[in-house]
Amino acid sequence: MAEQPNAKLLRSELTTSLKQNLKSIKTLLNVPSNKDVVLRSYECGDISLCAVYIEGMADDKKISEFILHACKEASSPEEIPPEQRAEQLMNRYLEIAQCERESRMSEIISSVIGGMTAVMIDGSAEALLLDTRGFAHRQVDKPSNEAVVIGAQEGFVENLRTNITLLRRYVQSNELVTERMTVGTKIPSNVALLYLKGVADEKLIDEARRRLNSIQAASIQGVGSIQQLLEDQPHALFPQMLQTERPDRAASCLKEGQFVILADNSPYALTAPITLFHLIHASDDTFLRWQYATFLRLIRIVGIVISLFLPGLYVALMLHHTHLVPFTLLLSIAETRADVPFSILLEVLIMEFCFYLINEAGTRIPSQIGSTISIVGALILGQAAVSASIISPILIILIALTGLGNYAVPNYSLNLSLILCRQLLILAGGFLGLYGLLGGAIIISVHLCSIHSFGVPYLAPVSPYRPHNPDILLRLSLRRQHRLMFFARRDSWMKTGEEETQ
Amino acid sequence: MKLQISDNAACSLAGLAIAARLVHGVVVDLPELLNAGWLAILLGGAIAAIPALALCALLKQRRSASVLACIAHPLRRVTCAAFFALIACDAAVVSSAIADSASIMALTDVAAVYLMLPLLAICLACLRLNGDALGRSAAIWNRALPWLLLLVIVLEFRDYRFNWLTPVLGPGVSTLLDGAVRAAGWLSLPAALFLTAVPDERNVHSHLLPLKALESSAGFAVLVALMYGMMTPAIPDSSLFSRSFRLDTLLANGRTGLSLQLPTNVLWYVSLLYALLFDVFTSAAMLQGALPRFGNRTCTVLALFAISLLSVSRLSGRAPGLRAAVWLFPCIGLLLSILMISVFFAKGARKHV
Repeated sequence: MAEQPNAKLLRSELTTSLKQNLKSIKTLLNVPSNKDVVLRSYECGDISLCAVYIEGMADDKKISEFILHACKEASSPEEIPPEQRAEQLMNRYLEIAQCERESRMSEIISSVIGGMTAVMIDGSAEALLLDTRGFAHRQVDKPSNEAVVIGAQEGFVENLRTNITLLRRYVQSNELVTERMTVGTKIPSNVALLYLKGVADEKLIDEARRRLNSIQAASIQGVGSIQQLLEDQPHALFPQMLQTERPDRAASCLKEGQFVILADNSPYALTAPITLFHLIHASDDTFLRWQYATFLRLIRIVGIVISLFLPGLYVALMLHHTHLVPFTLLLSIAETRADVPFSILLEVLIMEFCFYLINEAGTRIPSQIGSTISIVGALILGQAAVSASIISPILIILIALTGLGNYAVPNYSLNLSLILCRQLLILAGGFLGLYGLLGGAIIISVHLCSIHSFGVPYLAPVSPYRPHNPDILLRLSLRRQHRLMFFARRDSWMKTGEEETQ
Repeated sequence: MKLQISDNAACSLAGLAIAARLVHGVVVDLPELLNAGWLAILLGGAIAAIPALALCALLKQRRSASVLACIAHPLRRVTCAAFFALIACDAAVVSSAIADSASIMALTDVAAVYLMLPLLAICLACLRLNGDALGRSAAIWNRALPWLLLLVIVLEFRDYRFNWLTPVLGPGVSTLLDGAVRAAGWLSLPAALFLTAVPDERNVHSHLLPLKALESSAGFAVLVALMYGMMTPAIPDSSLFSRSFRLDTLLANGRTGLSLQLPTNVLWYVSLLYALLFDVFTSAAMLQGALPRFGNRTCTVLALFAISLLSVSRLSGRAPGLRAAVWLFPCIGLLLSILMISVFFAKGARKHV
């Protein structure tokens, strides 16, 4: 396996010579080619020091005030033995909150790259790593993809520390554990594994930890990559972990006994284990009164069923089972299709393709010309295509309903899964009618039942049955929801007195 | 991992599959029962309760493995081979029924052989996911099915003619008993599946699941037979009407308006497809029991091949199917008796259990 350049030097430890250490640092950080690496030499009494940091990643003000100024203002220190210099500087002179001693070159380099400042000390084989991170990052803002009407309006950002802080605000418990680790064998990324100790099953956390530590990828691109490397069944059509940009959603997952993974430069949290029902539930289901939440959830479920089956059913009935369609409706459809040159199956596939082409173009198009999409989509493709008898008007309505049903799904990954399943059902219905459509539905259903998320069956607690709160298809009153999630620890300290008496 | 299924999944799958099998067998293939098919099913259920209780006793003796795993090797192979033959024949009848239904409903110009191909694809796609996925999927359908059935009942309730169910003993006692024996045979088919099932640790009463499957399948089939009987008048001379005609009448929902044909067809296709999946899975598992060196895929493909050959032959027709159904109950009863003797009285087998 190819090694990084200067791998041996990277694995080495500091020497007592400041000059030698600085030479090693310059080699490893490609100085002078790398112009944003700053090596600032200064004195603290008789001790020669050098602060190493990366411009833009570290906050210059913190460095000036709490390191340089603090050292210069210090009264002339008595003779400090070289082996105690690092400790003495840390305890008596430097006025910064987070500070630790380090002798390993690899840790020093990765900390400097991460925005810390390394203070090299002449005569000491230890450097001080000081938290001076001050790189520009996006402020906490509304979540862009998981909007709610009633509920918190904060979303995760790209900064790992900020995200952890957000979660700590929502779950103010001393049992919230944050395990930090790196993922990526060549270019490591910082990752945090969060869980509530005593609530999440220990075996689950051990398995999560094991899977994270066994990732062999050279680097990762965020939680999306981590999800694909952690899932039980990477070839399944449905996601086995939930990505959310809402801290309140992630917090509720923690309280239910799930774990959360956060990664640097990723404005999403990854939670597991999940079931299909986690992907259907929206954050504001909990914020609303049970009557409204139940109604909205039913609307969502009907939307999902419509989006999955309506086009396939239309194709199956019109191609193979016209006798099942009421005569007046059949006549109306036949009249509108009289001049259409394509078969129904081809017509549906063309419209599906156009819909998703507009969808994809709308995502990628620059905002300045974004309005063009609505003109192209609505007028040109819709109206003009009907006028030219390329497609029938009924199909526009059908595809619109399908699209609406699809976008009622709160989770983007599930959305995409449904799109794929729908295409298979359209083809099955087109070639084999109801027979094919229902066969396809059974295959999808069996596939769903075969999926596991960290060992938890995907359609639990419905199938296999597990005792659960009345919050799966209907969201009944919170007063009736006493049970823990079935995958939480049985002796969880989150158990309420009402559950214990049941 | 071998082809295996847990008790709960087996109960869900068997309950649904046998209900569909009973409806096809009694309502479509036994017109001589007139509109008393429901009574034949009830009597058949009472008869089939005996092997079901024996099966429960067998299941109670196992610990963590299936019953078949606890039986001595030569006997296991013979038993599995026998069950494979029985279930494969039944699977051929079911696949032929699905092909006929598809042909009647829409694909009239397609040859029977080609109608089997989608079934092969469905079975291969589903069986590679093993028995628990099949059973859990059937459990979900079992939850949705009553609502669909309720919709059908509510909408067609006004058209029910209760007097068409009478006289209850219209077909004659001997014909009813004949039908009951066949129904008992179909109701005994899940025995093979439960013999391969592993106990569910969460359910302390999992050994009673064969009885639960029997109750649910017989109950559902009785209900459908009653509904059909109240919607379609009994024709005294059953020889006038072919299987296709009766299938067509069933799928056209008797005299009901157009609107209910869609839910009826959905109920019919889905239930029969699960019946086929039950048959194919059980026969593949039995084949694996008889030939333990073969893997899951090989056994599934071999089982499907055998079933396909039988399906396109005359053996899947109405008459051969009904002749075979008479022997189903005695054969399964005999096999279960041999297994019981082996488990309860053989000294060597006790140590393994």
